[in-house]
Amino acid sequence: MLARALVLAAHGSHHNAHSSLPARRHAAAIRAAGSFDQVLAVFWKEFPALGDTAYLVDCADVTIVPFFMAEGYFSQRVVPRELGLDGPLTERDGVVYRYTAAVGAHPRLADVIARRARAALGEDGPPLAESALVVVGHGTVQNPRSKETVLEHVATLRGAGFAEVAAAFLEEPPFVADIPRLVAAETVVIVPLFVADGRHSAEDMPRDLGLTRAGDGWARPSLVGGRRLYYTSAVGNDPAMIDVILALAAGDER
Amino acid sequence: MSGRPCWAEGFLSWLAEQPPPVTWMQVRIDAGWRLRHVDDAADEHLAPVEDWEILARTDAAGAYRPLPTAPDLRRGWEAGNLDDDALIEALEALYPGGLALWHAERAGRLAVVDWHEVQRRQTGWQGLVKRLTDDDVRAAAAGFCADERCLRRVLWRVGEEAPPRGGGAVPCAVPCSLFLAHVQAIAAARRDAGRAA
Repeated sequence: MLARALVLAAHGSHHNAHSSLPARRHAAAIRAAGSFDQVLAVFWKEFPALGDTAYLVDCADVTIVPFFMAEGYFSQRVVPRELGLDGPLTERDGVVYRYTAAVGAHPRLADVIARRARAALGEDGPPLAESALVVVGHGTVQNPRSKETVLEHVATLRGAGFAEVAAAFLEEPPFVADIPRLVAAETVVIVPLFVADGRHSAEDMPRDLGLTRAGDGWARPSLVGGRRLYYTSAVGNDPAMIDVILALAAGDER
Repeated sequence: MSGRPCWAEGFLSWLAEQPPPVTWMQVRIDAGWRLRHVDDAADEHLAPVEDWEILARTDAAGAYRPLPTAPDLRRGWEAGNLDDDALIEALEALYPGGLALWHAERAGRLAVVDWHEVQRRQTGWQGLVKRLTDDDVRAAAAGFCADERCLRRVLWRVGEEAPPRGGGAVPCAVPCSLFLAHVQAIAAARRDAGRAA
């Protein structure tokens, strides 16, 4: 038996190949760095399945990091159930399983969001102090934690130098289509707090925002109703997520 | 210690004892290690593999292929001179988790479930499958899990009966998420038809 394994537990998709890309890419980068004996990405909707984890890991100490952007149904019910976890610490058959908080709830995410927003505006672009930042989360009426996670990051980002900072959601108010009413600035940077560019951030939100197509992506800025909208790809793509994953694995949840 | 997990060691030891070529799902493994699609002959023009994940995750038309054990692995590629680690990496990319499940079954550690157990633990939208009878599930598996759709060897049971087994090396001990989505769609369609009537 080997010593330490790191497992990224993610959603994946039956329909969209991009959905699992960040989790697989981050797992490969951490594997290449060599500090764990095994690094795996396992999925709810792809293979290897969440439930295959115990067969795949051959280590005495297994840390599982849920690659979800908020605590909720998947991080608190589905992943623990499929992996047979009792809570933050489970011991079974001589193996210790540590289960961390979801990546998206980590306080460092606010820095990742701010940096993505600054990069989207560009060095010669509109000044930060005259631009609004809107963080878009999934949100769900079934679990308040999804919305609360976004609001916590927004509260932190109020000190990051933007003219205004607001939150919008896909499945609860205020909705993505409400963004023009939420902020007054002419320049608005919109950062999707999503794990990947799956259907929600690659299709639903650009449609709701009325963005203009440019090649494979969206025009930056897209001119919509007298505003300049700068839309970034999903936060989960950011290579800085690797640091967040490693911090959680090291027991650093702050 | 090799630094490899037990299932990788177990597979390599087993492979070393088999006379080549060895067929692993839709992959032909020749000594050396050389890999190609089982239906491709050595003298065909075969392109080197640039990315195993892309090969596994896209079909011949370039569309996303969510089920790696579907019998439509693309043809026309080859890879040679793979060392043991590269061989394991390739087979894991093509059939993620497959070697570990195969090894667990050989070691007598694979937990085979009954459909009723799966049905009971479905929550949320997936709880709809609780409306299905055993016959519904067997009929669904007969279509969805047959070798024409998936090469995994079905071991999970519906009560006393197992769905059609199939002959693939990779076992299927628990209904997969694609099968669950399939039976949910059946249950939802039936509910909607009931409401319309």
